[in-house]
Amino acid sequence: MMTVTAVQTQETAPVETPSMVQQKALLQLEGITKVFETEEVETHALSDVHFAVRPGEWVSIVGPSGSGKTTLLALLGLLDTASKGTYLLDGRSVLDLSPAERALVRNQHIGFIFQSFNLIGDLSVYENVELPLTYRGMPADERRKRVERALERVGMGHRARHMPGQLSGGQQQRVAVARAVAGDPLILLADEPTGNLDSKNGEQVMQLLSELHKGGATLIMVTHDPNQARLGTRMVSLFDGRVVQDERLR
Amino acid sequence: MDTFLQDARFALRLLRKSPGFTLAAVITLALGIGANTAIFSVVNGVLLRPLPYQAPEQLVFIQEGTPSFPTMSVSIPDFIDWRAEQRSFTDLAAYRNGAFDLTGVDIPERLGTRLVSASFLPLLGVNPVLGRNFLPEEDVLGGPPVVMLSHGFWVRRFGQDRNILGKSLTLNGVPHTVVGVLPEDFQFYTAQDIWVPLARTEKRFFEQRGNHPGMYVLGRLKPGVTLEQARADLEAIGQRLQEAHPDSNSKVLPRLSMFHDRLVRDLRPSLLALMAAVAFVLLIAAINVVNLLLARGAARQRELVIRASLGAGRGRLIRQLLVESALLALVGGGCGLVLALWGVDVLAASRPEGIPSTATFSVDGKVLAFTLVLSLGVGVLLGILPALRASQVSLVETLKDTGAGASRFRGRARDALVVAEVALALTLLVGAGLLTRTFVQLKGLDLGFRPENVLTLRMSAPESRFPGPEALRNFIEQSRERLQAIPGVSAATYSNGMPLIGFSDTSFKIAGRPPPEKGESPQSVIFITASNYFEAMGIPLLEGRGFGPGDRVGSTPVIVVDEVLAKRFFPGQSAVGQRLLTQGDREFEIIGVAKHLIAYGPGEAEPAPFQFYLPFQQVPDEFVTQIGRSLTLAVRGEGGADALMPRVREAFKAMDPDQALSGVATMDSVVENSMADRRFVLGLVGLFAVLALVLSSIGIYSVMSYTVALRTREMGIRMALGAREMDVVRLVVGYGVRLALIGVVIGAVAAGILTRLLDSLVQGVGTTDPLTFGGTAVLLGGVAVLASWVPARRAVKVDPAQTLRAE
Repeated sequence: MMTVTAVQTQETAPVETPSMVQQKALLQLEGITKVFETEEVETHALSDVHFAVRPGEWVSIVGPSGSGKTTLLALLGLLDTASKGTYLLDGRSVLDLSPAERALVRNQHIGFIFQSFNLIGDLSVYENVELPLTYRGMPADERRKRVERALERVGMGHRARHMPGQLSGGQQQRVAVARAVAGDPLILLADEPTGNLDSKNGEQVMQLLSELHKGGATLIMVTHDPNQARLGTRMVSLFDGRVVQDERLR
Repeated sequence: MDTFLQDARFALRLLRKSPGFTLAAVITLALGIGANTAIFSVVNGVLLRPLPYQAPEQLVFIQEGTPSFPTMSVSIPDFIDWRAEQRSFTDLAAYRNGAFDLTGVDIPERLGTRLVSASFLPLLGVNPVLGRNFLPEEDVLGGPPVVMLSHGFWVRRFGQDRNILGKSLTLNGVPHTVVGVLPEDFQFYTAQDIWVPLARTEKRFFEQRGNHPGMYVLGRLKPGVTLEQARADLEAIGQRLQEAHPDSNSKVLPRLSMFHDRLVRDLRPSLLALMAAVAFVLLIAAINVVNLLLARGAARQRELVIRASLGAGRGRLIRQLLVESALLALVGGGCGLVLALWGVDVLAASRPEGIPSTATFSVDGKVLAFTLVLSLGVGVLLGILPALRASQVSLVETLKDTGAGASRFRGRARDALVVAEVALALTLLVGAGLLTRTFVQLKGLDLGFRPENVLTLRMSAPESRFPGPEALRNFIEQSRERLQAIPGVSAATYSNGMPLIGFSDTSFKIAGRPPPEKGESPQSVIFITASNYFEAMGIPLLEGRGFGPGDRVGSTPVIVVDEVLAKRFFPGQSAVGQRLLTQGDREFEIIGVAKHLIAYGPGEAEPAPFQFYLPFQQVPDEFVTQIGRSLTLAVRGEGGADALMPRVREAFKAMDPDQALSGVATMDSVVENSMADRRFVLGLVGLFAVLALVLSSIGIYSVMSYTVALRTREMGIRMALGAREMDVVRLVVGYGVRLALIGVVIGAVAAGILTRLLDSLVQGVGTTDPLTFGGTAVLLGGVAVLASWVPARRAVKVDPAQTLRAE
């Protein structure tokens, strides 16, 4: 399939290299529009967004509040559906899937890291990390191996039996990262991953994400922090639901 | 007091502020407290309220018994001896029921009659509303015939004629002078039309010590004398009588019990079961309200913390919350009382015959006090858990709005309450299930005869109109033939007794076998019947033959026995052709074996376990006049009682214009009535079980809804992580079902223990019947699934994108 990094912006031209053009996009949005309708008002949260991500990229999405960052992340994570457009994930159209099929795609191909960690308070650290694997119907032995590996990877192996309430914010976010990577997803989506952390814990989490990226993970991260955004390989700026800049950083 | 009023005012304001919560809680409590109040009014009326007689706590009921037959009526000569020799009672009085024909009037009538010793009414402290009591000289054989009228009969027959005293009524052909009218509110067992001295009983009962003519005795204890002392006193007399009259009294002794205990003996287990059932309903209702209060407590946490931070102590906070819950319970109790007033009317209208007529169901002071205490008790019960929890709030946590500890506690408390609710509901449902299974089994019992399309009634043939045996025989047989000839009538028959209506029992021996010890002869129900009795009543003959025209006076005396007698005394051989001695050691040849009848009523004990039949046509002349004066007729025909009865009356009018037919009833209604007590208890327990099921399913539903509401974010996270709808439904329903299953296990254990209390009410099925337990568990499991399903469906509608938007 012929793919391009098809970023249409109002202010800047797309940045492309020949090698990238030939590499297959992991994720591709074309003409994505998201309209929230109420009785009297139509709000265009996203308008005609074209966007593609290749394997191994770390894309930071930035923009002011209300620019559509979270809506875009929700669409990318199949938590929400677009009003118009095309969304190909690993070459497969995923926009018209049924809720059950979308749940399956989320479970198998997407890892989420949330701003407020979103660990389930009644489940232990181990059980939280295990949860998506359980939904996948993975055998217990395989689950155990993956959970242990993921927790070791984020340095939380020794806290497996703890409850989330017994951990610091930074530790909780590391557990959330372990949960996101345990299923070896195609892509990791992070929504302000340090937004609820102090600077020290924030740095540690960003360090962890950098390590994951170095290990080959594909990351899309929404952030307000320009310094964190610049840790990525690419920075996409949104304004009023449109991509206004797509800058290759490295 | 000031602060209490302040708390009460604040509580009222809060209740008004949350009308939805208040309404739900008040309705729930009103149902629970109202049901308890209504049932307590029955328990109060039957078990607790003193009998409406003078110093009822001194009244003792006396009957006779032997080791083999512990409950027998009292022989008149024994009663006379007791009365003369006893030292424990201020007096003894005897009573028995009978029937006298009122004739010489436009419409002859057979009157329900109570024959009593002259001491009877004074012993109860009852004075006639008009006239006087019986005099001792009227209560001796050959004394002047006098009669007292019940108030109801006086009103019905004589329009409250105050000049009735001194007038004469022809009863059984003998003029009786009216000497008194009984008070309107006087009740003693079933109402009777007239009261006559015991001396109007047939003379032979005064002469035969071995005859126990359905007479019972009441005694009034002397002050300071206990029941035990009185028992010892009468038993000593009984032992002297045994020695003096070994033929009739060899093992007979008086049996004493307090009169009130005796009256309510059979009802006590049913009423206690009802009280337990309704208490369970209240507990379940209270649990639902506690759940509401816990949920509300969560919302009020901040208010309480502010109060605490302003200096309110723990006790003060607990008191405030208790005042609130007590107020809620009092309002619920008040509404419950209104419901109970209605419920008591319904219960009174549907009271079965088994409940003594002396018992009245009403909301009196005791019932009001019960409701008040119950409401306050429930109020404390409701408030204690939320109050204790709320009083332990962490100021820092709550003000920081984390509240983790409190919500975990509430979660556990809610779970525990649901488990308790399910356990209670299961116990109650198992109880109701066992009673239902018993009822269904009893209802399905083969009665041994066909009751459908049978009209029964009593006819009388007094000596005044049918003086000799021949006239009597002719009249009875002619009556049968005339009835049988009525168009639409397929059969008419007669007997001295009918199953489920009334019959006699007698002792017997097997010819050629060693005689049993005196007073220990086996006892059998005896039916003396027309020759077509078996065909007309639909009683199958299992072996041999029934009665035929050849079985007449002078031919070989014949008898048909039931299958129980045949199997017990002739195991492995045919009873037909064997011989049996009864009726004064006369020998009868067994010619047939009939199916055993459910004579005493489905599920009832059978004091006389055997049954046999003698042909009326073979009864010797000297006995015909004893047996034939009062017979029960059975007429099988189409159209029911309303259609048949006028034709039956018409047929009798032609033969005997003075005939006073009575006791008209269809056999179907007799069968129905025989289960009325059970139906009453089952209906109420069933109603409460359904109420418990509904309340507990509301409880599960509300807890699951609340839990889902609290866990909306968690559901979103799970769905974001790939949980499918099915996973979320499974999670929510599984949670509800898990709680229900724990409740089911606990409830099953509790039911296994508690249903033993139903032993006397459960028959034909074990109190641990696996089908009932299994069925109930499945039912509750199903209810838990349904009650969790709706919140689960709501949970899957959670938009997983909110996990991002909430950031």
